[in-house]
Amino acid sequence: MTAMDPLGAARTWDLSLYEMNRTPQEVCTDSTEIAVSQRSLHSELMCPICLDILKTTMTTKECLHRFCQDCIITALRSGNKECPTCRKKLVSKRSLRADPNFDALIAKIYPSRDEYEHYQERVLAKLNKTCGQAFASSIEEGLKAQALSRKMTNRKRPTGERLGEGDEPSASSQTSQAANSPQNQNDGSVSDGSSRSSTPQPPLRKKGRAVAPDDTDESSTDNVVTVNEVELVAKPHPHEASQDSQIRYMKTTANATAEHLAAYFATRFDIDWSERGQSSDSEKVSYTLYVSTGPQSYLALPGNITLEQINDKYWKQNRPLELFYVAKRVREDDPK
Amino acid sequence: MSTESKPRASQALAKRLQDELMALTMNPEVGVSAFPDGDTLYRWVGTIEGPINTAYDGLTYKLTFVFPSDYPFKPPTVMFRTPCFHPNVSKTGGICLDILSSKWSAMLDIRTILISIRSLLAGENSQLSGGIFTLNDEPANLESKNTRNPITFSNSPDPNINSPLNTTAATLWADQKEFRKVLLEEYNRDVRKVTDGNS
Repeated sequence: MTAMDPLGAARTWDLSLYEMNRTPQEVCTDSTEIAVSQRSLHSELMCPICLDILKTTMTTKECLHRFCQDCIITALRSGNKECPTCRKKLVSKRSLRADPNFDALIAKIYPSRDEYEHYQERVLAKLNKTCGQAFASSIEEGLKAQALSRKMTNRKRPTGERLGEGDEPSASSQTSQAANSPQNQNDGSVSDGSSRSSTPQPPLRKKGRAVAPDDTDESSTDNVVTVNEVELVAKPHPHEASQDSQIRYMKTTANATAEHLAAYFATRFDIDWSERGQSSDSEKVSYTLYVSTGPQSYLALPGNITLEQINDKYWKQNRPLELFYVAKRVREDDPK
Repeated sequence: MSTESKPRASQALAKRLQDELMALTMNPEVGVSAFPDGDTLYRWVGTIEGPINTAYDGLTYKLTFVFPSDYPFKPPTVMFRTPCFHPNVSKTGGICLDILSSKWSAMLDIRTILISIRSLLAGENSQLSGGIFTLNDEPANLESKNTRNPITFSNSPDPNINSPLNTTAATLWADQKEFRKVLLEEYNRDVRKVTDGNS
């Protein structure tokens, strides 16, 4: 096959720049497996008319372009009698042939296609209900971009800081925090949404917001697995006198455990204290978390319980989870 | 069956437009862009930046797309919203472009339409764009030699000067320097009119 046909008739047979320059691939004779991304396959398995995966594939006999049966028949009926891809003359349906092999190939690659379609329909219907379609898809873009940037920021951050800092506090909570807590000027850099004012401020975000997962490479909505986030308010335990009376608002993933939180408090509060010059190196503080199970009754939480479980088991309310903490000062040399 | 096919069809249309939007957002095209107009998917606004090194260099044009319910089997209605001084664009913004009427193909999309219109401004030869974008014929002209031959290597400039929608532009087209001068006058006046009208 040559790039230049002297008759100039077979333009569609010209090699593309890529084809002319590509190097031959070794034939795989052993058990080597090659992974092909779904996206790169998608262009091959897609009907250029409906932009969806081919359904009941029909192939044009002369130019070998593929379309869904419904699509190509509607196209021939409503338009020119030519191949939509290359404008080759297509007299009628008889210029097409069914391509069951290709259908079988698609069925192999997408075994649960019906399921996938149902899912897509559901997602689409849901999006249409909540907002206009165009708006919905732009939100989808936004979510993806967010997930991507979240991924980047999480990578940059040391793991210890991850907890509770995934979301910046809204500007209003930050300004009010600065305004009504003058003792607090020296740590304006703290951005975990904690508030040192005595009046509790309600968290401004809605609970349980869906967040796109990290694998943003996947292109379609069906891959968006929602990871629940839990908002929580941590207050000092009312029965335990503590020099620290901060109420902290934070948000983290629902699968974080009480132990995670306690560890986070230890690091976080320690930093705050050292900023205020109140910590001594010989002291470590350990935290125990409690959940309220009724008026005046508090239950210590086991370390391995997740926030989701706490929510389901004890809290059961549609507002941010409230937890109570007790700080115990432990001397470094103390065998704990 | 017929009761079911109607929402099916509109769903397919919505899906196709959504896919096009996704593709245009994820993989933008140089010099053109498009986005749904307001909160409906069936009206879009497109933008074309005048191709560089042509009379339209540095100018920006807005277009409206209206999609019929049987898109992509029928072409969308595409109009210039910014008045465009061009042999094949009418005073009201109508565009004389064969792929938007007789030579429409279901495989064409918003991206390819915008590219085609942009190259109509550039006066590029159609076969550079891959063969499918023939640019210059009206139904009345279908029998002439330029028409249904996307792989022609003819040197005819793209705008159809023989049956123009804008005769002044067609007359001036041969002298691109003079054309540019008039074009800029028109553009500045029209764009000012549009912005004044909005305020």
